[in-house]
Amino acid sequence: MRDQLKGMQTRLREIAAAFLERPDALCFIGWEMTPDEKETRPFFARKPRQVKRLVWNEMCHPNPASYLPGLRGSEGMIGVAVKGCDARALRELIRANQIERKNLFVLGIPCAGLVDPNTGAIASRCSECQYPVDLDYDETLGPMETPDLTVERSAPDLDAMSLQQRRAFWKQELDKCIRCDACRKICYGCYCPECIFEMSDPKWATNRGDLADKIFYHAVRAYHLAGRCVGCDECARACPMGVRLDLLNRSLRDHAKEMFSFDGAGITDEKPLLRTFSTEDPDPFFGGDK
Amino acid sequence: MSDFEPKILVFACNWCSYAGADMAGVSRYQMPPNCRVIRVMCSARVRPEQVISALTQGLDAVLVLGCHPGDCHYTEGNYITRRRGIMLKNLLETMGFEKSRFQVNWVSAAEGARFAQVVREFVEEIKALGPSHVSTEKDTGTHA
Repeated sequence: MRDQLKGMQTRLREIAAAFLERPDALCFIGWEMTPDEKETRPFFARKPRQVKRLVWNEMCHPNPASYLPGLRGSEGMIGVAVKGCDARALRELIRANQIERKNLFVLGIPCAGLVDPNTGAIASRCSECQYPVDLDYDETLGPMETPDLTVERSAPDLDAMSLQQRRAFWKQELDKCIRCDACRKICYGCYCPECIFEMSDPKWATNRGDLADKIFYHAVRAYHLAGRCVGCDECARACPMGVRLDLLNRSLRDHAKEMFSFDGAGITDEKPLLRTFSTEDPDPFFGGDK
Repeated sequence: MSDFEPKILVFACNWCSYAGADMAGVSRYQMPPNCRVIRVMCSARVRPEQVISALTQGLDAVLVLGCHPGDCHYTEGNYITRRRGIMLKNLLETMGFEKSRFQVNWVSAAEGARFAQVVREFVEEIKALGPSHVSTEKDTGTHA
């Protein structure tokens, strides 16, 4: 396993170096180890000699594709390494015109599951792993197919809880929140030039820090990702207070599947969930034609 | 909780529901005074943020009224509202709001009686629920 990852890392460096030799190459986005060697962080290689800092291992949690909207309009080709969840995000970004495919060099990396640094087991985000169908890669390090993983997902079942229990659960979770915006910053899908939480007129959100304000923040944040969340759980990983943000996005994904048979963002070229409708949509909660 | 008077926000679309409300008024139907009506050009103009914002700023419930499916003045606005509404309702439920605190319904311009009935039933339902947990749990100024 370790040898296989090492081999892939060598190959990744070779491909990145060859790409950066091209005269039109701007940068190659991948991962490097943090100084304490315990985690990885995103790394932008700009010169071929820098590729020795690039790594590939089971700790490569960050999503390199999430930096692409910030590079929109820049001159030159951008290389980007993507694992399965990143590839889903990449497809959504291309569809949302956040980056042009012709300016990208996409290196697909087959991932056999990431490891949660806290538990040492396969990360729970990998439990719903699904590779995009027919995505166009420039190069790959192997077949880009959904790996066969059995992962226990440690999550309280919100649907099974009573209303009171859910309230108590979210009160407890949201009390931890310090409104640092880490979840928003890390998300591939939060690329609006002016975020609703930063607007001053109208001032939608405050930083009062009471429960109502946090409910507004997290409900809106999750809703803005409805049908776009690729389920990478980066929000929960980035949260310094350990708030289970992934549960909100996950519940929206589950409902989208249940109500509209929506496959999930970035997997196929299915139309975006809230950009389309069907006259056959369920009308379960509404008065309808009584 | 019998003397509880909920504060309710109603978004009514310009082409059907607002005209329906007008019809209800002209026809002298009795309606509870708990609703504040905001006229919007289409029910799809109501942003989910506006609904969430209302619920977290102390309103007890939000009702969005639009044309019947298929009758939208803009052809498809209310279909979009419907899909959005389902997702929003599920999200609010997951976060601990009662199901009925946010509702979408359809009222046409000719249905004055229906407008009055929808509003009456909605107010009764919210009265039975009591105040929203967000407005009652709101801690003021304890945040350091």
